[in-house]
Amino acid sequence: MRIKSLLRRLYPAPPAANPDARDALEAKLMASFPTPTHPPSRGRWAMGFALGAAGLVGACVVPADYELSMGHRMVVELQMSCGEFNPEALATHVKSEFEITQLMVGVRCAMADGQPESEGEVQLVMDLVGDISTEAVEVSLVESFPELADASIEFEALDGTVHGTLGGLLSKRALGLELLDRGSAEQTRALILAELAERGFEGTATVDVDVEEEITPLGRRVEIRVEVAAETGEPPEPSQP
Amino acid sequence: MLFGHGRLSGMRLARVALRAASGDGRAFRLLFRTLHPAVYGYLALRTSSSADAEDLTSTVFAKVVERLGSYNSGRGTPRAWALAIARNVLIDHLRAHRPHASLTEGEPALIDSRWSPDASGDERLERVRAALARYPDEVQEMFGLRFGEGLRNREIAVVMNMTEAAVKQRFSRVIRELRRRAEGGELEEVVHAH
Repeated sequence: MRIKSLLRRLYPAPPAANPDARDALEAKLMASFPTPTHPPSRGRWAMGFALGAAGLVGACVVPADYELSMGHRMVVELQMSCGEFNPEALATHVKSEFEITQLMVGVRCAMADGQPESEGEVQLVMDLVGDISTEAVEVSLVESFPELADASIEFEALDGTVHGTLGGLLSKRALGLELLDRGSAEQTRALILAELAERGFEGTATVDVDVEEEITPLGRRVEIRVEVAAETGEPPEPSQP
Repeated sequence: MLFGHGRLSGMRLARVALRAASGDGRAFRLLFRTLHPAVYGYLALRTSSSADAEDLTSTVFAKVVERLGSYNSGRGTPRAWALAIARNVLIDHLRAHRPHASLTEGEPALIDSRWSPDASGDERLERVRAALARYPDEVQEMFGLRFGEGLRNREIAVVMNMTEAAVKQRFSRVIRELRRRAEGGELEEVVHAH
């Protein structure tokens, strides 16, 4: 056996830290950093939500707009040949490792001579809709794809704004992730009506859902617009986050 | 699973550190989660209790936050930088807790005193261990960092405040000697001043 192998066997593996102590320390240290504010979305791939209401009676419904976090856009930039870069493998990995409701990918390759086998700048834009830890995604990708070790990986929030008096009534779950997961406008409408019923809403409501999709050079752009008109004599229960 | 991200490359982690230095909390969280196992492991193997290791780890990361602005990626990886801070914190701790501590005494030994259970019963390993134990503390510390913590020569140089050339030279010479011992050379004659 080589001497270096012997030497490695001499030393014990470092003990693992107590997770509670580690988490407490992390929380304490994180207090030194400002709470992150989401930068404005670039808009091109952003998902818009609009919610309007008419004739709703009830003091508990406060007209307000609020931000709805949809997920994150990940931008990866690296130097390699476009021919060797495999965005499908990255997308498959992310979808299999994380609870991604929807994932959209766009790739741009810039080669000096236009040849795919030549090294150049590769930019991958991946929109990840879902409740994910960006750190975990970043680390998982870097660990699984060595070619990303020296890549620049940045995240920005994908935000939507919910407008209108029913904004506080419908939960984020109804308007956001599961809505996208279900895909079709009809299912979305049923979901929102079910959500209203669950909140104790007794009255009539119509829900119109428009989904617009557009294929752009960087990928698919999705915009979802939800219009709700409701009438009732009883104020609905506020939603639970 | 968010912890144990030791496989991030030094260059990549350096970028994360620079982002954290600019106030990016998300980057700091990644930095913390990547470095914590190394810092805690280093301290836990050189202190007498897990409580001491936790306290010292807390002190180290407080200093990491305090000094993030002065981190210079050209001088070493964040892991080496953090372990250099950990080493100084450990020295202060050991000085404060040894009997009759005095500033005129040399630095306390920072060697990892726990040998792996795997090292028992293997004649060649026993010979290497016995030979290594006869080297000066500084050499034993270098070997602990290299083969225990898995640091590279450049990182060891940063942690121990040496030049990389000096680290390489010393490893080269001592490993050559240890190889001879492992192969049945004269164990009794071993090594003194290096």
